[in-house]
Amino acid sequence: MLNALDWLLKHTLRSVLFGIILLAAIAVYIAIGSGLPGVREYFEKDELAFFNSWPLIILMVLMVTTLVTVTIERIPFTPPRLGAWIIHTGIVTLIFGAFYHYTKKVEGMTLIPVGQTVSQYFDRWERALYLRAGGLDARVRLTGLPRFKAYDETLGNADYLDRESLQNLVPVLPGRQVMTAHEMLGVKDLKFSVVGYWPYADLRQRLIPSPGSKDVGFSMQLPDPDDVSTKRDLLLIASNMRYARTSWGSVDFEHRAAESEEKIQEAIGSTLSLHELQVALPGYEQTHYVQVGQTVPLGDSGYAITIEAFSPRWQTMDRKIRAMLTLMVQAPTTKFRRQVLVDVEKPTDWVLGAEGAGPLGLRQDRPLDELLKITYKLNDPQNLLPRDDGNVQYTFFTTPDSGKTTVVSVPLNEKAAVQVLEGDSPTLVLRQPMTADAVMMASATGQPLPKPAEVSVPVTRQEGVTVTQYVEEVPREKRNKDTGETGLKQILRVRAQSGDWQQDIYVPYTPQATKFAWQGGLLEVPGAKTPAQLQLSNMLRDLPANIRLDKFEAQAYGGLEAQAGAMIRNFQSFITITNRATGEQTQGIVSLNDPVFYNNGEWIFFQSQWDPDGQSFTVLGIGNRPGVLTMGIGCGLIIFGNFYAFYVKPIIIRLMKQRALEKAQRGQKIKGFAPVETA
Amino acid sequence: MRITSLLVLLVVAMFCGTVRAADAFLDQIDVEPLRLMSLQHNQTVKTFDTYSRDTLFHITGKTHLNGVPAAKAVLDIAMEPQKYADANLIYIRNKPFRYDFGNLPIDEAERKRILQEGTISFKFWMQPQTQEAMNRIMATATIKAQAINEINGQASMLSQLLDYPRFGRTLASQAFVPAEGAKHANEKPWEPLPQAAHHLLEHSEGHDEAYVTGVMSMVVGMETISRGWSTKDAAVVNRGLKEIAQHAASINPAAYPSLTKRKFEVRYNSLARLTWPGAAVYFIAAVFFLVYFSSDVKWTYYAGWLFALGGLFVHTAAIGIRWWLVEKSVGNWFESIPIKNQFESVMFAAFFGSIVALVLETGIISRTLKAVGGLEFRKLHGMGIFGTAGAAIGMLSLLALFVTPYVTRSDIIGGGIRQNAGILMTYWLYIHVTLVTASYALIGMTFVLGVWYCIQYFVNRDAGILQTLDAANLTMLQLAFWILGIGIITGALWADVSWGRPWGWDPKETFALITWIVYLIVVHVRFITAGQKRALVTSALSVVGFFVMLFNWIGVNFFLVGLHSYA
Repeated sequence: MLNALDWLLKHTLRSVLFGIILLAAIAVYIAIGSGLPGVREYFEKDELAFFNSWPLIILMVLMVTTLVTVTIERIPFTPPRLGAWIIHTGIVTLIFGAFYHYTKKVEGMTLIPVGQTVSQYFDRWERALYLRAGGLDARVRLTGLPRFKAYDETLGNADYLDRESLQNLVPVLPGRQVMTAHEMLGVKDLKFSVVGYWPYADLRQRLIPSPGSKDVGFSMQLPDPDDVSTKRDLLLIASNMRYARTSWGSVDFEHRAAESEEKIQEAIGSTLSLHELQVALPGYEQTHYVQVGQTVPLGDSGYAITIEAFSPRWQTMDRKIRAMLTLMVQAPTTKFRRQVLVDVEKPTDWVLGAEGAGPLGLRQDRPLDELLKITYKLNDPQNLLPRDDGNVQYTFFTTPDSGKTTVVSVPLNEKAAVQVLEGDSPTLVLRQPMTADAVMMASATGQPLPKPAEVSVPVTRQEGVTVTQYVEEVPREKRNKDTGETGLKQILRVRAQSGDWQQDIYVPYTPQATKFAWQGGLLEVPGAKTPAQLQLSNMLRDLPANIRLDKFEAQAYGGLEAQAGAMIRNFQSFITITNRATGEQTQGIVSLNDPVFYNNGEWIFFQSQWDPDGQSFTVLGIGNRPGVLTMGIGCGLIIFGNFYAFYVKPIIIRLMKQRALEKAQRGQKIKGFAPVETA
Repeated sequence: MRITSLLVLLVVAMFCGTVRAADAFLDQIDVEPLRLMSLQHNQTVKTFDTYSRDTLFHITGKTHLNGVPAAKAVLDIAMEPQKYADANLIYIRNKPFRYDFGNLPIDEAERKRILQEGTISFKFWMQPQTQEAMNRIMATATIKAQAINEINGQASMLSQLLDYPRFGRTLASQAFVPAEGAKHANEKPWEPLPQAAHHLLEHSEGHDEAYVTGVMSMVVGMETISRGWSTKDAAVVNRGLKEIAQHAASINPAAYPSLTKRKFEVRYNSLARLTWPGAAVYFIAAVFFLVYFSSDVKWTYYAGWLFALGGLFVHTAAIGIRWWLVEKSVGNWFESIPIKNQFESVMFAAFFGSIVALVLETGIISRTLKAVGGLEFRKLHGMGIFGTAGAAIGMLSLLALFVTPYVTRSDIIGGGIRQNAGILMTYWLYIHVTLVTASYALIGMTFVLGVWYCIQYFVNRDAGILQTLDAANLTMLQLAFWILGIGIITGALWADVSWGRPWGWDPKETFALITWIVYLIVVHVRFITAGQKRALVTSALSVVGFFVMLFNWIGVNFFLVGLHSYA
C-alpha cells in the first residue's frame, strides 16, 4: 500500500516529467480558452470565468505542489542552484498573487458629463435587473445569468435558469432607507424570476385582439431601413403612448384619434398656412401663405418670388437652430437668391453666376435689395411637420365609429397631400425614404438627392386591439461580433409575481442603466401606487470616492478637429476626486496611458471612451488592483532568478571548478563539491 | 513542348505589356515634379509619390497600371475620369465575396471575369443594383460586411481621384495646399486647391502675399495641366506640373517638407522601403557564412562578415530613413520611433536579431569573460554559426516584408506611413514592443539553429558539430526566454495603466504566455534527457516554439479578435 503511494508520488508530485506534463496541460487549456471561443461558450463561460474555473485551478494547485516538492527534494540549496530556487519562489508567488487578484478583481466604467459628479460605476461583467418606479431605481444582482445561449420554455430548456440566484428576486433601492420593490409600489410581496434569456435577439411588437378594447390600430409591413432584406411590422395605435408615433428611416408616422370629421378638416386646412411670408415693398404690403415650388407675383411691382426649399433645422452662424426658406427673387432688373429665417430680420442674399460662386451663388454680407423686406413665420399648430431628422410625416386620423382613415402627409419640400383609406386592408401610397447611407453617399459625391420612388404599402387596420411583444432571435450569420460581446442585444423574459397575480415581461439590455433611456417592459401590478418599468443592465457599484469631470479635451492628428472617424492623438479628462468620508479633494488628469491612481494605487481610473460628437462627456474605466504588488514581486523574482540561472550560475560553477582543481593540485581533499551538470 | 509554348506565351505577354505601356503622350509626361510634391492625406503629410503608390495599390492591388507606374497612373486617372470610371480598377480581395456579384443581372462572360480577375469598375460599383446587392449582403452576413466596407473604401478613394460626379479633370480633392501660418508640416489641416482658392476669394484680406500668389499660381498651373491633357500636348502638361510643384513649395516653406526629405521619401519608396536590397545582401552573407562553416575556407568567413555588415547597414538605413520620414508627420522624434505596427516591428525584430547574432559571432562576450574572470567556455564564435543565423533571420524578415504585398495583394499593416492610435503613443510601447519583438527575432534564430541541428543530426552526425550547434542554440534560447519573459511582464505593466488590468486573457497575451511555457518546457526537458537526444528534443521544441510565436505574432490578428489588433 505504502509502496504504491510512494510509486505514485515519485511519478507525480516528485517528478519533473509530471511537472512538464502539467505545464503542457496548462498551455493547452489556455490555448483552447483563448483560441477556440466556441468551447468556453458551450460551457457558458466568458474569458475571465473560463480561466478562473476548476480545471485550471486544479492544474495550478498540482503545479504549485509539484514545483514546491521537486524544488525541495531535488534542487540543492547551494549557490549555483539559487537561481532555480528564486524562479520557483517567484512562480509560486505569482500564482498566489494572481489567484487573489482574480478573486477580488472588479472592473467597470462610468460615464460623466462635463461639470457633473458621479459616485457609482457599472460593473463590466455582472448584470442586474433594474426596476424604476416613481423616479427611483431599485436593482438586484443577476449572478449566474447565462451569456452565450438562449433559454426559454419555448425552446424547451428553461430549467437551466431554474437556479436560486435567478428565482424570486427582490429588487432593492439602496441608500439610507433601504426600500424593496414592493414597498416602492405599495403592493404585497412582489418577486421576479428570470424565466427566459436570449443572447442576441430583437424585441418586436404586434397587434392582438383584446376583449374590451375599442382602440384602433394599424400595422404596416415595411423593409427595415437598416436591413433591407427583412420586413418589419410597424405599429400605430393612438391610445398607446409608445406606438402613437413611430418613424421609418426619415418618414414619421403618427396616429391621432380625432373627435370628429371637422377636426380632421381643420388639420388639413392648417397645412395650407404652414409658411407665412409678410412682404413689404414701397407701396405694397401683403401676407402670403406659400408652399415649396410655388411662385408668387408681388402685385404689379414687377417682383415675383419662387419658394425653392424649406430647411426646418438650419444652423445659423450664431449656432442657433432655426427654420429657413430659400427663395428665388425675380426683381424688375435682376434675379438673386434670398434666404429668410424665422425671427431673423436680416436676410442672406446670394449673387447668381458670379466668379467664384458656389452652387447657391456668391454670398453677400448685406441685402442686395434693401427695398424688398420679407418676414418669415412658420405655423404648425397641429404638429404635422416631421420632427428631428424626418423629411415627411404621415398623420393617420381616425374618428370613433367610422371605418374611414384620413392620412395627411406633410413633406418638407413639397405640397401636403391627403389620402383617404377605406376598409380594413387599404393601401397607402408612400414615398420610400432614402436610407441614411444613400443620403451620406449623395452628400459625399456631391450628387443631388434623387427623388425617392413611390411605393404602395398594404395597411392592416384592426379594431379592439392591443400591442403585444415577442422576441425574435437573430440568426448567427447576421450577428455582429462586437455587438454580441457588448451584450447590447440581450433580452430577458422576467416573470413578476405578487400573490396570485403574475405577468411575463420582456426586458432588454442597456449599458449604464441610469444614463441611457430604457426600453424595458412596463409593469402594472394590480393595486400598485404607480406603474413600473424593468431594464437589464450592468450592476451598479459604489465608487471609492466621488468623481467630478471638470473638463474634457480630445486632440486629433494633423490639426484636425476631434470628431468621429478622425485619428485621435490623446484624450484628457480633468477630474476632481472627493473623499466621501473626509471631504478631502484631489485633482487629476486622466489621459491615454496615464491614469489617475486613488488610495495609494488601490484603485485606478483610466480613459475608456469619449463623446465623439460634442466632447460633452467622458467614460472612465474603473478598476481595483488587488494583489498587483504580489504579482509584481513574483515577476521580479522570476526575472532575477532567470538572470542568475543563465548567466551567474555558469560563472559560479567555473569558479568552483577552478578552485577545486587548484585544491586538488595542492593535494587537498575537496569538500562540499559535487560535480554539477553544465546546462 | 509545354515549356516552349509557355516561353512563347511569356514573350507575347511581355510584348503586349510594353505595347500597352507605350502610350506616346504618357511617355512624354514628366511626373517627377509631381512625385516630389507633398500633400496631406489621412491626417499625414506625404509625397505624391507615396500617396499615389498607396492609393493605386489600395484600389487595384497592383503597383503599376497597364505598365504605367503609380504616380503617372494616378495622374492619368484624375485627368481622364470618364475613361477610368469604366475601367475595371477596383480589386475585390475577399474571394468568396466575388461570387455574390454573380446574382446580379450581368452576362455570363462578365460574371466569369469578375470571379477570375476579381475586379469591377467604378460605374459598376455605382449602379443601384450593385449598391442594393451590397446592402443586402451586408445585412444578411456580417462576416462579409468587412469585405464590403473595404470595397466601399476603395471606391470612395477612386471617386476622389475621379472627382466624381463633376469629373473636373483636376486633382481637386487632394490637399496640396499647406496651412497658412503653420510652423510644422502636420500642425494644421492642409486644403485642396479649389477649396483654398475659394476661401481666398471669399475672404481676400489678411493673407500672406506668398500664400495668395502661391495658391493662385497653383490654380493657373493646374489649369495648364488640364488644358494640356485635353489637347494631348505633353509640353504644356510638363510646364504646368513644374509650375504647381514650384509654387506649392513656396506657399509656406515652414510647413513644407524640405526637398531633401521628399527626395529621400521617393527613393525609399522606389527601393521597396529598402526591403529587398537588405534581404539580398543578407542572403549573400548567409551563404558565405554557411560555406565557411562546412568548408573552413577562411576568405569566405571574411566575405560573410563583409556582406553581413553591408546588410546591417542597409537595414539600419531602412529603419533610420523611416524614422526620419515618420518624424515629418508626427513632429516629434521620440514619438516617431518606427516600431508601432506590424511592418515596423518585423523590421526592428530582424535588426535586433542580426545585431545580437553578429555580436555573438565576434566572440567578444566569451573573450571578455576569459580576460576578466579567466573563465573558459565552449568556443561558439568565429565559426559562422551565429553569423548564418543572424543573416538568415534578417533576410527572411525583409524578404517577407517585400513579398507579402505581392502575394496577398494587400499591404502589411503599417507598410505605409500613417498615424497611430493614441493609445500607442507612449514610452511603454517602446519598452514592451522592443522586448517582445526582440525575443521573436531570437526565437527566429533558435528556429534556424534548431532546423540546422536536425539536418546535421540526420545527415552528418558529427558529434563535435552537433554539440557546438546545441550550445549555440541554447545561448539563443536563454536570451529569447528571459527577454520574452520581461516583454510579457512589461506588457502587463502597460496594460495595468492603460486598460486598467494587468492581465485580461486577451488572445495575444495568452499566446505569448503559451510561447513562454513552450520554452519553459524546453528548459525542464533538458534536466530529464541527456546527450544527443537532449539536443534533438531541444531543437524540435525550438521549431515548435517558433510556430507558436508565429501564430501569436501574425495568426492571432487574423483568426482571433482582441485588443492587440494593431500589431
